[in-house]
Amino acid sequence: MNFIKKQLPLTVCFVIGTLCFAQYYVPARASQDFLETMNGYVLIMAFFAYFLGMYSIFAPNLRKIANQADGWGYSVVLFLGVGIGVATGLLSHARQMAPDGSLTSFGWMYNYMYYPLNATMYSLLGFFIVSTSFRAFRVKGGPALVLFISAVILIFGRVPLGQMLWAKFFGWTHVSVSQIVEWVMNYPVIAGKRGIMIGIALGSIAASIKIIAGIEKQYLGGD
Amino acid sequence: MKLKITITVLLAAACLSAGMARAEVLAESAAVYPVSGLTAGDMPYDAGGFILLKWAAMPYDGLAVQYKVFSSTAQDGPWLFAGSTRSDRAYSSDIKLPFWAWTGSKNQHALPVEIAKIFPPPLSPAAAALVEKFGGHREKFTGRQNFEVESGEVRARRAYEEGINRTRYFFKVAAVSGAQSAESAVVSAVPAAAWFSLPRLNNLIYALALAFVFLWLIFHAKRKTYFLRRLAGLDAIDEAIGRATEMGRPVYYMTGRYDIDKISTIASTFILAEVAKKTARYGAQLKVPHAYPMTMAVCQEIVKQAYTEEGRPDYFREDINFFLSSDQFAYTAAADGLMARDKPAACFYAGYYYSESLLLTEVGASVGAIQIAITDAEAQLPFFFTTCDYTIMGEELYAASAYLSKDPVLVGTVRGQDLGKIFVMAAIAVGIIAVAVGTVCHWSEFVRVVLDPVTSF
Amino acid sequence: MKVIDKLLNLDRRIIFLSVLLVILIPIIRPFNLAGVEITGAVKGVYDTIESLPPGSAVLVSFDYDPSGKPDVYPMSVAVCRHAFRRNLRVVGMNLWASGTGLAEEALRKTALEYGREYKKDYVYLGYQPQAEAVITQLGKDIYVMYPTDYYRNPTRGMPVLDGILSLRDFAFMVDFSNGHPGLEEWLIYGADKFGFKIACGCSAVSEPGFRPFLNSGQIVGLIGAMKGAAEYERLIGMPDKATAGMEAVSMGHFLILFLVFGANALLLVKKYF
Repeated sequence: MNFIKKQLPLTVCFVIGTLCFAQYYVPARASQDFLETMNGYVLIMAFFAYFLGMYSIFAPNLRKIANQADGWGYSVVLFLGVGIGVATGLLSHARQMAPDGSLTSFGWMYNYMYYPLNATMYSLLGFFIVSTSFRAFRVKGGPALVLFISAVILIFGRVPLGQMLWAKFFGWTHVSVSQIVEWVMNYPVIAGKRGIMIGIALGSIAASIKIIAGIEKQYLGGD
Repeated sequence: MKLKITITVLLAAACLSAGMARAEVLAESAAVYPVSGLTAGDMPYDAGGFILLKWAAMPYDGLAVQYKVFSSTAQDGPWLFAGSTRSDRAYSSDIKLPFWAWTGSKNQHALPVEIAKIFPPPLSPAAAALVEKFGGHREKFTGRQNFEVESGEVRARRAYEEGINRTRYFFKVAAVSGAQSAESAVVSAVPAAAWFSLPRLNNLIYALALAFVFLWLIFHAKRKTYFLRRLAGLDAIDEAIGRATEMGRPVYYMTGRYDIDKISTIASTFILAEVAKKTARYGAQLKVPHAYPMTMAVCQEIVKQAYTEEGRPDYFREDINFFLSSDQFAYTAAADGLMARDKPAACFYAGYYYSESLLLTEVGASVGAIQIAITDAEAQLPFFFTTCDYTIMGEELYAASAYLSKDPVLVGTVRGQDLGKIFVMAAIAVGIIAVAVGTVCHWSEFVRVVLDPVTSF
Repeated sequence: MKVIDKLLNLDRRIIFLSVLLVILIPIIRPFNLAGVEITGAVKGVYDTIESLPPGSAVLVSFDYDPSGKPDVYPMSVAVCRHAFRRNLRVVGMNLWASGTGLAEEALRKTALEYGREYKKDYVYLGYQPQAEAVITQLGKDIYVMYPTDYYRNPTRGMPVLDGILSLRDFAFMVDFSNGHPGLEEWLIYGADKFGFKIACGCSAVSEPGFRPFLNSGQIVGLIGAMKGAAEYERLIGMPDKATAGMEAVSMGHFLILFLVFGANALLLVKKYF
């Protein structure tokens, strides 16, 4: 049993991991076929895993409705939403537009329910960013001052109103705020990002080697 | 005097216009003869299906001359048009491969030719029969027939590609200028698949060297302990879970926007193991909402194992890990709703996040939770820094499991990361100096030798 | 001092209300501000499309969902308009399941404006899962990955795909990316392996992350955020939603400046007086 729960998965992980690593250096067709096969396996596993996910989301909500627990109304809404989405999708053959250019029922649901809900959640970011900036942008030292000044310049440079005001008050410098913003974006920002990206890449390599070599075994779970 | 000037000007104008007319004649055509040094060979470092034609740069190379390539499966034809190029293009130096894999120059033309574009794959017999039966109207096929035709095409394509790499193809190059044309001798080659990509040799060396360093450090870590600098965010995990236990409120742990096939999610699950051990130890309630069922399944096992190792298997519940939605904002809305109702005392955001990061952390902050972010999503760092109590960024996500477990073997790999960074920093410094010197002294080959190992992957 | 403390701990709801007002006002009553300045990153995309001969095939990947409608959708519409105006063949696809409606809308709307015919001048291939596998397969043979288009029409023999066998045969590719999968997958599995010209349009948050690719020449241009979309609309001479939205964006930005300056001024007053 230990072999099936420990040795076999570790061996499979090592063999497949090494083959996927070697695949990058082999241009031959067999190597590309192998990669496609692996991608296909991932897709198949993800598909079956969704049954687990469906059970995980439906079972507790069904229990909530049965027991009329706190918030059971939301569980009814969940099932209604899933039902309507699946039904309209099946009826419209997952098409959002009919051949004549009119909206199908699925398309109507997408345009008038899904899209506004999605856009609403995303638009919350705008409000949160303003309130977070107000709370967090307190200059309490040198680095904070540098951050503050660069943020002000970037805000000026990203909007037409800012560009206009800069031209009006600082036009005598013969340097447009867009040029400064481009410089900031192309040099300091990229330098910082590249440093972080190099560190992340090395960390990813280390983590991958640990998993392939069987040093990190936590994903296997217990006995 | 005026007359002399006028005559001079008129003569000059006549000479100029005659010269221009001659130049125009030259631009329209040039005297051409067959190209020399034509060879055909397999295109290196590819999966097969390409032939590389090479011939010498000719004295008549210029705007007026074009090279046309013809191909056939037989020595004597029939010849199919395989492509063309202007004579002032397609030099071997235009092929962008690193210096150890390719030597190019302006003295030689090199033109890759794709066989499948010249000789397109045929349909399989069964597929061809079906297409003929419906007069080519594939929209009349049933689903099964469509599947059969597509499968037949895939099989035919596969057989065809294997066939390409066993067939000899014949080529000739015609130099064309206006009405003049001069054909070369016929050359032939068989495409072949390469089994090693030499341009990626530098990448392989770096990867093997890193792997060797990591494994060597792991071996030595068992005999030697390495110092890890303090990471306040990870030290605060105990405090956060203790607070949750005292207040009787749950601990929320989120694994990020990616599925389990991404390394950042795997790293997040390693941290979840440590967090789960602490929640089991202190008796705090743990909740892990998931965006992907596969991640949920893996985390289920990890949390179960963690509770068992802490001797608290009875505290484990199946609904600690639960699935919400794979859609970004549906997940965020659900998680926000749960946090607003449950009012967790501690929230952990470990993994890669997109724009939902601020939405989650703002709600967490509004319910008064201690928030610890452990992420390699550099674009979201500003949001985490302003809303979370502690932020662990970048590669620290991957070092976190070593830091929390204090396992000497895992700590050894963190040292390997540091050595890798030192190597990169040294390479950047040396490279900057070398490229600057090479550029100033016009040593283009030296600059290429310095840059190719770090730009060619 | 109590007033200063109260102001420094201003209720979030007041801030949210201020945001709502400053965004609404320019929408209801536009100010007609001057246009945005054109940056090199956006011009790179424009110049590349301008340099393509008529009849060239351009691949457009609409890798965003409705959350990208304010900034990424307008830039995709502007690029499609530009491509159709230049008589280029447009092949649309996406790697996000939730973005099919927007992709269809963008292509159909812009094609109608220029009288372009489906299957002859443009085609929408649709969505396929598993981005890495899709891109790898497209690099070898697009017909294996897309034997039919989104509307179940067989792709082989379509006039718009004439001469196209794989990604290498596209003159240019533009990826409109709002997250994952997106530009990074196209670079790693596509452009790096098969060598084709690629540009990107993305949201504001992603733009700094994609700048290194622009800097290293891996992408020829980058249209970032609503400002980039407004720049592109200005370049093609067709101001639309992005240009209209820039006024609201301007006011929102200046509200942030006002609040931040105000908070720091209050802090100074509190500290020294």
